[in-house]
Amino acid sequence: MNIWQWVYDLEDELHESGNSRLATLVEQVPHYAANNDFEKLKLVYPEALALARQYNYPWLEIFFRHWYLQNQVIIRKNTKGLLSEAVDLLEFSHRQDNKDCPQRICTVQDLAVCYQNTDGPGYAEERIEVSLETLSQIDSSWPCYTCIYSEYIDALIDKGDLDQALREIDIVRSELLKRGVSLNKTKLSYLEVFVHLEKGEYEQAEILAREATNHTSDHIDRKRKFLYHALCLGHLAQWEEADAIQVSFEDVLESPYLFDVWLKLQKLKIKNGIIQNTEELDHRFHLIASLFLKNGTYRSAINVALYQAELALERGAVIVAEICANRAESVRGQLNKDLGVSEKLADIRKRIGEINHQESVCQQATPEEFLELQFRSSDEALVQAYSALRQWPDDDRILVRLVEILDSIGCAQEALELLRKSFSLDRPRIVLVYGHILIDQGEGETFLKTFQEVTPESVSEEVYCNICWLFSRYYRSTDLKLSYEYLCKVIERRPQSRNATIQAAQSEQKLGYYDRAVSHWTSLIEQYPEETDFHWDRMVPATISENWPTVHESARVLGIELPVDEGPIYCEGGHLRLRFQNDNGEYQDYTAVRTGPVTAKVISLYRLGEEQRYGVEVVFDPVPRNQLDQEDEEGYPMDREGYYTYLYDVFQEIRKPKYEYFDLDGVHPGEEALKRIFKELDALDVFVQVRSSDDYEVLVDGSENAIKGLYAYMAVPESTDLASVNNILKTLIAKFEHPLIWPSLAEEAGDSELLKLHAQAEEKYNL
Amino acid sequence: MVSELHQTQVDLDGLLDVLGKNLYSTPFVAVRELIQNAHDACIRRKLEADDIQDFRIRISTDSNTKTLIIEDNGSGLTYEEVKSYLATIGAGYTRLLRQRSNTDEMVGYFGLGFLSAYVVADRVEAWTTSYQTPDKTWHFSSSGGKRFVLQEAQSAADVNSSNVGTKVLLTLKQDFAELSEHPAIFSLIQRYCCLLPIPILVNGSETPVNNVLAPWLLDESASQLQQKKKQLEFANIFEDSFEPLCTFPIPENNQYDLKGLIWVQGGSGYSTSDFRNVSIFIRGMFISNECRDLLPRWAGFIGCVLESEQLVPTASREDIQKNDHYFLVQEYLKDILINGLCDIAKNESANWRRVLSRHNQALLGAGVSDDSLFEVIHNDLKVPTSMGDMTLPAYLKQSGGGLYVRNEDKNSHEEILFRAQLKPLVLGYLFAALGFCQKFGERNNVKVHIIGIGNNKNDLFQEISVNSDHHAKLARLFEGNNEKLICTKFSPAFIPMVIIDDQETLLKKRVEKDDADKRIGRAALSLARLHTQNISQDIERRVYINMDSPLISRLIEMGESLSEHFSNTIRSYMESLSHQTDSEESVFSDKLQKFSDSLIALTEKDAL
Repeated sequence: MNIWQWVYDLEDELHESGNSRLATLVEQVPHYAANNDFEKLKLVYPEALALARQYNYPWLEIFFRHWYLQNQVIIRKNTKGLLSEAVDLLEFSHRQDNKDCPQRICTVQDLAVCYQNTDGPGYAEERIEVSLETLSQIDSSWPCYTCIYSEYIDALIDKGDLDQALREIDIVRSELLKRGVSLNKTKLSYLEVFVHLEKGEYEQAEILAREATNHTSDHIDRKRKFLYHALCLGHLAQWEEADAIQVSFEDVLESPYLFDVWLKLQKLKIKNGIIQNTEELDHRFHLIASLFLKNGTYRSAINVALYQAELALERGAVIVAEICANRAESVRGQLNKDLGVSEKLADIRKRIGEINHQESVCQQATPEEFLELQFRSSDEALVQAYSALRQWPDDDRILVRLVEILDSIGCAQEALELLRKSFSLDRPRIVLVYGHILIDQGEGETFLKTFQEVTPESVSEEVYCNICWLFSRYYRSTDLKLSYEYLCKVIERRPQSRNATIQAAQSEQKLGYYDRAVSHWTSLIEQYPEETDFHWDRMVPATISENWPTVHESARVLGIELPVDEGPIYCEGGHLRLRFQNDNGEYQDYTAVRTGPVTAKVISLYRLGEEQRYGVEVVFDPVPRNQLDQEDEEGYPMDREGYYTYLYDVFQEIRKPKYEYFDLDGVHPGEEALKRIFKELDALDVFVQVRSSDDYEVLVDGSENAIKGLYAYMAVPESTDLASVNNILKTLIAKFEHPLIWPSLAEEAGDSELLKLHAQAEEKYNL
Repeated sequence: MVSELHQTQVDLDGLLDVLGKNLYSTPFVAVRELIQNAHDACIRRKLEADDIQDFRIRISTDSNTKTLIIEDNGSGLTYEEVKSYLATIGAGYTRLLRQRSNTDEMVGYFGLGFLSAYVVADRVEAWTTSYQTPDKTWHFSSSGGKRFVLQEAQSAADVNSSNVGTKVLLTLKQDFAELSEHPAIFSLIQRYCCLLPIPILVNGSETPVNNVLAPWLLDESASQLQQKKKQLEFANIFEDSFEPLCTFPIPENNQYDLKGLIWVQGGSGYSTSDFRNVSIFIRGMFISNECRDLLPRWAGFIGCVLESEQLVPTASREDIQKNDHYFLVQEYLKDILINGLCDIAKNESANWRRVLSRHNQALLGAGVSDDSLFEVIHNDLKVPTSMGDMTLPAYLKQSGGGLYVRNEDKNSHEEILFRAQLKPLVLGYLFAALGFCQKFGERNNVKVHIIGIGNNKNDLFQEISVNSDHHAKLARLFEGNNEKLICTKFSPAFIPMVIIDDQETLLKKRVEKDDADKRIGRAALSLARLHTQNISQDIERRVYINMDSPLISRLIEMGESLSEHFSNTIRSYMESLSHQTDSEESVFSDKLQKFSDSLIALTEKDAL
């Protein structure tokens, strides 16, 4: 049974019909999925699925969804949130229209593996039943045969029926041999290794591991083979050889399907004294346990946590043991069957209790002494911090330190839990830390639930200010106005708060409350007169709101000489560049002339067809985006990219004159004549910008001699009569030996006669 | 004159085949090895004879005769050395001399270099005059390498003008005739030998092909701008398809003894295209461009040249050993790359704009993969939306604060709402868009709403309390079986209602339907039902009524008969707008029929 044939046929069909994107995705999705390239899979999968649905290819939809699930549940051991998807896919793939899709068989395995991940041994019976049912629908010619058999044997192993597992493997082996396929080229080979290891048949396991090669993915198989082989060698006490086989922990961490065998290898190494039971190793276990938990792979998560707890007890790290035991306890309810977990947990709890009788006492005389301590290990830090907390339970600094220690060893959830337990609205520091952590960890709902109902009357002023500060942060990206309102509440109670005032002034500028912004910058200037940068900040809202006395005052402090001592400021100075942001967030830079301390006017044109901003006057953010810290060959300052001017972000456009834009093309009339054109058009407020370089030449038709050309843009104010511009140009050009043409302007001006002449000139001069 | 027939010291049967197919997978490797020999011979002469010659390596090609000549004025070989080193595989003199003199100037490693000549040539000849016996020139010739003839050459002029040195002449096999083409050999040498200090002259030109100075060897006093210019020129040598856009050097004196240059390519393919381009040099000699995995997988638009003495070549010198150092370099390069991009974003705004415009899609994917890179680019990249591509800050401005994503290119009630509000929807089904938005949301505390998936956690609408009589009336008019009516408010007011299916309940219904076991195996179905049994609710869809809608206000005021026709008109109209595909429960023509019928009923005299 070639379950891929329809895929190949469809791929050809898609290519032929021009739908090459979908055809490419047909190749990419299984490739990325099977090779554990999840980073790429998650980028293309939504597109693949949407296209399959858009073009109404239900089989392809099954194909894509199955491969995505394969990657998630088998390779990445991730079941969280995917059970619904697996059930939905099973149902979809078994609908009447899809009943002949070969991949419907695979969807049964996807669902079974979800339960295997959640609690393999706990669902062993159900998995066995499902596998047998599915196997009855196919034969060994299906590639699915080995997949489903793997699931079946895996379930037998989970059930503890190792001999039956071996017998079944033999059945598969002989079935495959009939088709010329060797078992050791399938994923079943590792299960066989595993069973022999469990049975203590190490030599046999080692031979099989050495010979195993999985055909599905070299990339994935190589690491699995290495680890299994090292595990077998370890059991045979051939540690030198086992250690020569290396798979880095980083590799393992990227490949959750390797977690189980890697963990077994580490256990064996610890047992044999090859590696030590250290905090570093615990940290690695911890990363794996966290991933298991995150992925909803509960049985494995509990197993690791319990093992970690045992190791921690051996190290004397009773707090770590307790954390691990709590972690196991927290997800015990997710298991289908207990199968001894409670017993193990009770044993660990008992041992923890015995050690806890000899609780250490904090040696430091004061909390300050404790806070200055440096610890040799995190186990020690935890013990000390808990001791200190017992001694000074109301000292929030100690609690915060403990939270930091927990966070640093990867126990973010435990840190959060500790804060949650200790949280009280009369502890300002805890309120602040807890709130920030909730926001950082994306626990927005908890954050709102915790703080939304707090009123100023129900808490101290300090706590209320902290909560308002948190809310201001929470809403900053999504609702600036609300964020600002919270800042105002802080400032109302603490007018001297530097950070809140700066934040408020910046928000006010963005919200258009310029007078209030001026007032807040002024307050900062008064508090910190030595920080002259606040004057630059203040000039932005002051200029927009035309608060000229304030602008002049700041300019004086900053030593900026202005042409007038009071009132509006407009004096054209040096050149700079302005960065505008379009509505879609894209940037465009324009050359401009400075017209005041924080104002400038655009004097350059973009290519015709792009957004033009000629003559736009703006207030800009006075902090330049670049530094003129380089020098050219003649010693002129410039930036790293070779620009000689500063680049500023536009803060606000204050005047937007409207222009129409046209081009002017043809033979260069000579510098004098060009100056004349400039002058005459300038009288109509038309701005001309030459765009051509000295290299631009035009060829007169029939002649081999090139003549210097001219290409320019004209910006014509909307208020200017185009016919006048057209007439001036016609009058001027009439005296030239060779023509210039401006067909777009002539067309707008309705001069059809001229257009004909322009068309002739265009042809003659190859314009 | 001595003339002897010798047997090489290793039986070459099969070995050359293996070498040709495996050890040396590209023909240039053979040229590289011979140039390396020539280079080492020059260094040897400098070290042993203390001779400061004007060392040169000359290459000549003749496509008519399919010959390639590599000539140097280095140490040359004595009769014994020819026998020992030219004809004994694995016995390179370089290694010996490196050990003796403790120099890093020499590039050879394994003594396999000369053997590579037989991979590409039918006949190999060499004339060599040692500085130790300048009056004796030896002529070595071999066809196939198994046996060779060694005799005293008739004229020293066969070697070169200064007598001392070696000339190797390869008569190329037909398959490798391209090595006798001037353009091919010129560009290969320019790229792969550009870091060798000894000038290489091709086909009589006196301008060295390798006259490029590696950027990390540039005079420190050069301005940053000049350095950038040189870096771009250098990077350009290594890019076939894409002009480099901007560059950043690997910091000097790093702990990995790594020198080099990284650049962003100027062109790009599709978002998932992988054009990672890594060239590795050791002691000035090109080793491999096969180590793309030294750069992160997301860096499909990045090129780099690296030089390090701590990277160890494999025996074929075509690849690098993947040892611990290799993986440390991999990690280090990732950091450098991100820092470099960050630096460009911060300090080279024009370049950064170019990078964004060319690699927006690839960077979206990269940002999803890499947290630190995401921090640099999250505000600058554009995502596809129903109203054109835009950055997420620009999107948030238009959406009013939330990130709304649709995962399928199909209609839904919610989508109608967005279209009516003129608010953009992120097209989450396009490359990387969903992943990028989700990450942005997590990092910036912005809620990501995926619309059209309908579940009981719909957070687009908040229920409001209304007059209980009004609620009862609306429920009577709009609430069907297994539906829940929710009074809410949303804009625009001219949209009276939105209906959202609950996918989980519908799944439960499908899986627990009596006929499911006819389609799905009993055991598999039991497993599926284990899940659906936990879905407790039975509400299949929620009907959100917009209490701001004047139509709804009017409806509340109407008499019973009229309001029934009016509500039918509203609902059937809204349902036809968002209809997707016909199903057992929902047929497009039925909805239109109902719309038409209710409209007629509404305009009947009795109703009015």
